[in-house]
Amino acid sequence: MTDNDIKEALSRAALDLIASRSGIKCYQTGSQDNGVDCRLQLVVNRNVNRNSPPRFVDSGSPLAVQMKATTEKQVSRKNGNIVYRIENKTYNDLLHERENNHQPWILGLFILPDDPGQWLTFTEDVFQVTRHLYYWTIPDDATWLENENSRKTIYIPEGNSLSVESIFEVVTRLITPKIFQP
Amino acid sequence: MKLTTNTLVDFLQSHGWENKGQDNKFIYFVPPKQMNIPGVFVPIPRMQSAPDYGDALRHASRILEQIYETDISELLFEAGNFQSTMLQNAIYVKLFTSDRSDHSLEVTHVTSFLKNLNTSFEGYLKVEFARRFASQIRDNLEKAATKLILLSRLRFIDLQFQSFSFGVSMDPTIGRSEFGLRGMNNWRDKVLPHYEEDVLTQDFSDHNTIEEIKDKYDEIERKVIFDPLFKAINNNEYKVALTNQSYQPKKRIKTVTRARVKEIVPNISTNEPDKTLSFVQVILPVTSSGDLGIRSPKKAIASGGLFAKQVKRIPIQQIFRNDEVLEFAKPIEVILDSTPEGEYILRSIEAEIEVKNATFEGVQKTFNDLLWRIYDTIGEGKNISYLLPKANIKEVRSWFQLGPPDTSS
Repeated sequence: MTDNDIKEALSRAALDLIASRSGIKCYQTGSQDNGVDCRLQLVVNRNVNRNSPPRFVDSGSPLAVQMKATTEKQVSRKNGNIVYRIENKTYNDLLHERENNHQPWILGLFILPDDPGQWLTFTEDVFQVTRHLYYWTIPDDATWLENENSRKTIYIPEGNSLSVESIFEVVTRLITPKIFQP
Repeated sequence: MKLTTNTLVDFLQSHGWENKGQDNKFIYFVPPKQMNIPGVFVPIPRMQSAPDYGDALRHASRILEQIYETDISELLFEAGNFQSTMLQNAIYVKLFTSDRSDHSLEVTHVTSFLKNLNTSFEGYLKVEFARRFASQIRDNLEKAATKLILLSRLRFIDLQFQSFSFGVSMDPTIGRSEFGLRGMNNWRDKVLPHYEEDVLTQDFSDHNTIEEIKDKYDEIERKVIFDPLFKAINNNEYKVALTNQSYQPKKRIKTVTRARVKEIVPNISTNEPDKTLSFVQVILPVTSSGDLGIRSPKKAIASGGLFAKQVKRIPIQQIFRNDEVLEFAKPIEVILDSTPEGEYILRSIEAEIEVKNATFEGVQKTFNDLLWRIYDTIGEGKNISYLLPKANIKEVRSWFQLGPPDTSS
């Protein structure tokens, strides 16, 4: 595997781990699924008010995630934002999906250390992926980018972090339609 | 039926789902309150031209399949046939005034008929449910049966007031995921036609029919099913006929003579009718073949907190009734226990029975009567290893010589 293949595999696995730990289903997709790397699905215990064992059912739309894996040297941090150069065609894909398809999308940005030796620790006591994981959604005022071979700079707030602690709230917020929101 | 926005919306609306609103992509539905699954919503996609329209439909379908535990094709088939199935399964009844010169009926007569018909059907539901599913229910059969009755209420599906004709049916699609019992939904789909066949259309003037009913149902089961039915049809003010959907009479329901009523529904002590009924349903599902019929209550009894607290254990060799005595091949252990509410419980794991009663004397009597009823139903000479009869021992006494348990703890 190339370093890029390894980074991509680690990014998928990490997202799966974080989601699973938070009780969110992570459906991994094949490589031909329009750029969707996985779908995050909220589940609800339908027996929560019953004296029965938990039984979970899906609820709402899945959140499609397109993962991008990179290293620290390929991003910069400025004014509380992660500065990342996204390919125009990926930007356009996200815009197209938002306008023309049903499921909500996010871009997941998985940032690994520059030293591949620090990417993964797996010992008898420790299983650790050293990374940062952020999400980004296409802005409301996004417009089509003509040159798909070029790149566009995007700014991802550092607060858009995906972690075991935050992922549930983030997914819930992003898939909950406005009519349900207070 | 094809999977489309409309078919899914029709299904949800016919099953009480609430439309919470829509945006340009989805129509959002939440389950009816009685399903009791807060937090779930199903987005039904609207943009049919969208490339992922099919995926979004399948996703919505998957949520429904998980909730109803049924394939979407079956759900939609039911949705399409929901009304016709209810119509097809319905019981159609026409009441005729007995006085030909009077073309009116008192409202109370009609409502009384309906109330008794409904009570009879509920009794049938409860008895048949206990027989079929006691083995799958570990916790509280009575509670499950009550829930079943609530979810299976008869509803008017057609009404012609002027001719006192009406159709009543139940909606078997309500609460399909409530029980999680194998075979439950298939049984519920057919239970109303079975009630019509097993109960309503029986010829109660025929001796063989009565014997079959007595073989099939014990006294208490007959009382809850047939007593209200006889009250419904034995009314001098009207005559009853079952009809087709067009209210053309297909079978006249004859009144039942007092002697036949007494034969089918003997006078049963009604000191604690409901409690007794519930236990008999749990523990005495005697089939027409004479088999005791259940095994699983042993498990239910054993897991019901039996070993969680101090109980009294008494070996019983004999039980008495007037001048008869039943002697067991070997002593059976009877456990005296109590409920948190202070009711007395007697159970025998070997005999797979459990009774409870508000009083100590009552629980003894119920237990004693029940063992005798098993014996009477199964009969002498059947292969019941633990029951060995010895007749004509002239002794009448309380077979139970022990004090009530300490319920203070």
